[in-house]
Amino acid sequence: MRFVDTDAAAFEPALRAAQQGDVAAFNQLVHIYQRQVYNVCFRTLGHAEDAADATQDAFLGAFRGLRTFRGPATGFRPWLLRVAVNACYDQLRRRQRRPTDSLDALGEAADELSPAERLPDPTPGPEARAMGSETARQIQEAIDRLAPEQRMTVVLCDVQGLNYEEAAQALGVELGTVKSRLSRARAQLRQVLAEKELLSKSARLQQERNT
Amino acid sequence: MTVTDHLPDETLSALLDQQLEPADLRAANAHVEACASCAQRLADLRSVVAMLHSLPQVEPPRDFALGPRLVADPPNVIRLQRWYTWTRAGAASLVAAFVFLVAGSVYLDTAAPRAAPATSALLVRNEATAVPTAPAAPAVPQVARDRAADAAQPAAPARQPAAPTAAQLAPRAQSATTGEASGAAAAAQAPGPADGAQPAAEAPSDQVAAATSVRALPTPVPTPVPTSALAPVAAVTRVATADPAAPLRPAAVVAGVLAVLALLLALVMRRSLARSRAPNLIQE
Repeated sequence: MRFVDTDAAAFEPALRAAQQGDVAAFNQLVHIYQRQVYNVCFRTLGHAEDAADATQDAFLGAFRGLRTFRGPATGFRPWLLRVAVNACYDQLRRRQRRPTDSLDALGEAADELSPAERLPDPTPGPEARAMGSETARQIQEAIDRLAPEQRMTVVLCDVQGLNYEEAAQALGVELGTVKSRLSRARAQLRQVLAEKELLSKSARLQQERNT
Repeated sequence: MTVTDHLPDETLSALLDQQLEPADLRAANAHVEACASCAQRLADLRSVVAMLHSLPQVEPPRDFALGPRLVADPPNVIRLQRWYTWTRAGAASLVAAFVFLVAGSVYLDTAAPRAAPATSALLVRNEATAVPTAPAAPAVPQVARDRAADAAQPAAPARQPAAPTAAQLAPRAQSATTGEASGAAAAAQAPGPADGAQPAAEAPSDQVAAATSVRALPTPVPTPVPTSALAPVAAVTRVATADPAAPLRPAAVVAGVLAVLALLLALVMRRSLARSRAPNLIQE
């Protein structure tokens, strides 16, 4: 799992205070989760500026709707991600109304991935070490070609590392739906990335590992 | 093994995530061992997942903490704000209603004399004048009484001479009304002062006209009395008797009181709003 959820009990008081309208307490939660929320939005939308808008919308929406959140603090992250997913859908709808050149947007997004901005991955695979910004850009492009539902699912499960249950909660769908969407998204990505000849090397590596 | 037996994407996907039931898992593994095509697909999928997983994390471009400009007010403040808005709107409409009612009653007060039927106003005047001048009745010339009687006004004889200024006015009025009838004018003047007799006889035509016109009207009122002298009395009487603005006044008072209360309430709410919002400004 990419993000280790901070011990939920630790921010339980902040959560309860935020539910009472305490902005400072809510901002503690923002600081814990903004990185993950922004990354979900960024990978789903493939556009840095749209992702920032969606992230801000998500936190504003979360603050306004926080009173509707029930249950223990452990349920907060899936709940927040669901708000973020909805913010992404809204952003996609907005983008459809003002069609921009998605290639330009991708270029901008890729430009913003300066090495300093990248986190050292705790469990880097061979691809991660080898992955330059060009590869990352091509993968993002492949993600962008997926249908929104599949994109959301694959970003949550494979990019963010949520398990099926968490993803189902965040997407507001059944577990089986997550499974089928994920498999379709992966199959399509396999096809696209194979066309880009990005899979040959990793597939070879994988086969070597298997043997 | 035929092509149709190849593992579906969903099974391969689940296999990757270790989401298969033990029986399905064994079957899938057995198939992948035997089928190079499915083994390749599985390897590709594994590679896809690995690539997705190794996508670099991007740093948020800014802090998304809710600042004073972005912050939506907390629920309690939102509620208070809603009440404040309604109270303010209510106070505004109450003030508007108050102004409207006051303006309306003032307008009716000033416009009523013009709008009201002349007959009632004149009647009131005459009644008002009749009482205080009753003792003066004996001083009235017989001629005047006769003239009034001629006008088929049973009440008129008593009233007409009763006017405070009757001494001068009555003769003049009579002379005016009877002016066309010639000789009677001189007789009417006789009781009046010698000096005033002549001018009175030659009373300005407008006065004459006024007097005659009043007489000519079907109204049972001879008005030789100057209205100016009696206007205040008449006004008071009129207010007491027929006041179209009467229902507006209590309504105006009620609206005014409610408006003041609403304004005070809005002021209190505004203060508590300002206080409850202050803590939100800590976050820049």
